[in-house]
Amino acid sequence: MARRIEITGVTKRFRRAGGKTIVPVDDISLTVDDDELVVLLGPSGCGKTTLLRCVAGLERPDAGEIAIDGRLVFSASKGVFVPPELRDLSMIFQSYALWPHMTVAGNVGYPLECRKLPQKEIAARVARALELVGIGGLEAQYPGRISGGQQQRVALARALVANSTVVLFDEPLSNVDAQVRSQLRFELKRMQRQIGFSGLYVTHDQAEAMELGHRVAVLESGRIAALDTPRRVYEAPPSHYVANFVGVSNFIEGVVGVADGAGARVETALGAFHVAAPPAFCTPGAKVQLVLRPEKITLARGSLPDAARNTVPVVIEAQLFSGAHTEYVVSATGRTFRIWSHDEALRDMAEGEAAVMSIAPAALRVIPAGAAAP
Amino acid sequence: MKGERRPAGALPPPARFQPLPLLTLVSFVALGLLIVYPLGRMLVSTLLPGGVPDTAAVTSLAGEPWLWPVVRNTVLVVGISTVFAVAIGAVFAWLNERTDATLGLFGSVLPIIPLLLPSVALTIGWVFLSAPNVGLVNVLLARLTGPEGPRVTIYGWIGLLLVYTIHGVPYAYLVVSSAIRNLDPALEEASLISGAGVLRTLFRVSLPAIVPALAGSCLLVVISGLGTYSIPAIIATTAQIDVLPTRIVHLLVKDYPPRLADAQLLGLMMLVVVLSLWLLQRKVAATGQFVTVGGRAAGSTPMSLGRGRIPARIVMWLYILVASVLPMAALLLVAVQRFWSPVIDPAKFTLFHFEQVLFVNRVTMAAFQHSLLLAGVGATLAMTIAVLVAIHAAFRGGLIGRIGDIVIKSPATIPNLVISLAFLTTFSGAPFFLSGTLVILLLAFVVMYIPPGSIAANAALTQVGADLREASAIAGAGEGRTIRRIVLPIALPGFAAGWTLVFVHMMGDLSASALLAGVKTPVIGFAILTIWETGSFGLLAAFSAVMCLINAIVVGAMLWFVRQRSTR
Repeated sequence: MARRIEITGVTKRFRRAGGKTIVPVDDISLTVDDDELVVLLGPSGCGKTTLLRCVAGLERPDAGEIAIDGRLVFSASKGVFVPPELRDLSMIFQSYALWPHMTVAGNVGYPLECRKLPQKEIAARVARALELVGIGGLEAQYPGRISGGQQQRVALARALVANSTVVLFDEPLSNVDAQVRSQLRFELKRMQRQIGFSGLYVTHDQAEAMELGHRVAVLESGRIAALDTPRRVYEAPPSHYVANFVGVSNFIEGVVGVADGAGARVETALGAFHVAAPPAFCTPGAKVQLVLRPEKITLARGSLPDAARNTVPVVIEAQLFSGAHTEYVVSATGRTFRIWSHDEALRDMAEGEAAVMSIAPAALRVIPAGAAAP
Repeated sequence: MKGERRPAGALPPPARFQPLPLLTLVSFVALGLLIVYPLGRMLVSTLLPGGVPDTAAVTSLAGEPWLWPVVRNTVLVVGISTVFAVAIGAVFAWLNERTDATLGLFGSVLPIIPLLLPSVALTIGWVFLSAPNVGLVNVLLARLTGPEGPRVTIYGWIGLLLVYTIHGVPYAYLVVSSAIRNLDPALEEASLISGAGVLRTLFRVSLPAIVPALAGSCLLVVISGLGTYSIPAIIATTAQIDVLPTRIVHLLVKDYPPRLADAQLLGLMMLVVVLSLWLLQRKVAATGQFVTVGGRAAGSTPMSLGRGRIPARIVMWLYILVASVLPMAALLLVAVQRFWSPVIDPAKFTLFHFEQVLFVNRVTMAAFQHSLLLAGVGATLAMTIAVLVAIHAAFRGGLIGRIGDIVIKSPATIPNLVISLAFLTTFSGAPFFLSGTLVILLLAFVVMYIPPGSIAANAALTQVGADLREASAIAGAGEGRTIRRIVLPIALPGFAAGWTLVFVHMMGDLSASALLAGVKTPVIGFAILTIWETGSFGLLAAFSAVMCLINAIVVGAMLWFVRQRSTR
């Protein structure tokens, strides 16, 4: 498969006003394949937007190399820096960055105008692009006169009109309301399949990252903390940081007791837990953390059945109804857990009531102890 | 569509020749030379005549009997009027930005008044209002109080202070109102909730929080007061209150041979005063207790003044009357009378003076032509430089951008009369021989009036967000196309506003005109001084009125253009 974007060892440093140096992008390597959408996910300040701007040519990295479509556009060692206007890519800005003095057609046609296409062809391709994003007929409007969702679509049409093979997305959906956002998310996915483009997509919204990305790169202070398919990142987070940022997690510290082909036994303050498929670092004596996803935990009334595995007696602290599911906050020996359940039978459980929670060995994940990434 | 990659229209190769950096470089160098060279040369020739320090000029100046009164008068006039102007400007700004006494549109009208009514026209208007015996106010007083009743006169300390104050208020208003606009209203709301009244809130919270802005506006008013020649030329001379600007011009124009060295020393004195005030202001601003800018002013409810609301509004309307409507009316009234007389008889109104000014009098006709040409070319030149420097500072930043921004704004810290003095010293003789030409006026105009243009250009550019430029670059546009298709169209109204500011200032200039214009190159300011000396008041009134009319048309056209643009 062809490499559309190839980022190798890119580092970007900024000097703050006080003379302190920060490194928002710290030796990152990443590739985006043909027709692949890679999502850069992380909290604000993790460097995801800076990395995107380095690829776009809006920032000049301090080290590393970037190639787009096999063409070297930046190399610190070779002194190569292709300015953004010659990189032949598209970008959707968080603010949309629609030019207020131009009509929708003017905005969308601008990249073609820069490529010196004849007026007639520009008009035809603009109309086609607007059709594609579902706002055909808005050509003569000014951006200030259309709704936020429509503005978003104009920005999308402008990014797609030149048929660039690489499209960069800088939190494009963060300014539209929740309903429009999920609609646009779905359409983006459809268009990506239909037209086919490769992209880097920056977001801090993990649901968006899960839905859109073929792969997700979770960034932690300038470095990649996890890079895999959304499902793998969610189900097998490599570190506390990733488990905590992607989805909701409960953690239990423990020490590996026995580990063999059949699984591992982790001793914790809440008793022993069996893990079905332990990772390689689970050797006896290793300090680890168990990750319990709230929807994987089963909550039941009553007291502890003797022979049950991975079961802990708990006390109900609170019950939070959120529509799709009910969150139960429970406590066991001083620590609290969050559990999501659809079980109607639990509905009338009162605060302070005793219950048991259990988790299947196959649903239990293990990560190295300590908050830092390995 | 899949698979249809890279059809017609790959990005064309970049253009080889880039005119923009070259133009910018030329602007930088020209501006630097025009600002630094004349002032430097004046300093050197004043302090080191012939290359060696010479105290003879200083000693002889110190021995002049007029020196002490001139300095004292200047300090009194500029100092007192600055205090009044800043106090009035600050209170009006607060009333308009924060209370229910706001006049709405007034906020935008007040700073525009000096554009429509340049200080020279304002001064002349007030002369017509309150000259002894024939002034309209005195005519009214005579009717009301009889022949022995009280009278007013413009030719005295009170008259001088009045006009200086009116002249300074808009500067203070502009600075203070923008500071108040940026002040988090929660500060004031917290004070009100704590039980403080509106007045206590104003004096204990609002004004203390913007002390740096107040200090800045004081500095601005002092600089403009020191550099203004129009007001003292008309009033102080007749009132025989000798001040620095009139004395400097006197030394150069009235004395023969011209006493350049003394004039330069006086100019230097002005610079020293401004410099020390500037240092003082920086010290005030640097104490750092004032960093309270929240930027969330939108949506706050104005404070209720209760019963004070109506009086506050009346005071502001009165001010507008005094500062613009009355002097303008007086100008028109004198202009339509054959002879300036206390008896107003509409049946005798005539357009005689307008006819003279526009079609008969050679000096006034030539003055209009020259001033229109100079202001048109000068404003265009100044705005071009200002925009280029602003674009460079905004897009490239860096040290050069910052230096350029400082250099282009630096003339604002130098009294106008000092700048024209420096130009006179530098360019009138060898090797330039520009004395009495339009070129020396043009250059002086550009340097003197470029700072407001530069401020307008910067403000306009901040409206073009970085993302709009970046989106253009991503779309494949080079810098030239981005500027042409994105930056200029969006920022154009702001640039037009800047052009208008510069144009109007150049039209009403007296400081450069008094020293640099010659008989062969009369400009408006020069003509006004000439007519004033001959005592043809009707002509003077008509001439000033026409100037105001031209300014009003230009400002009106600008406002119309801006509104046209922003209705999208």
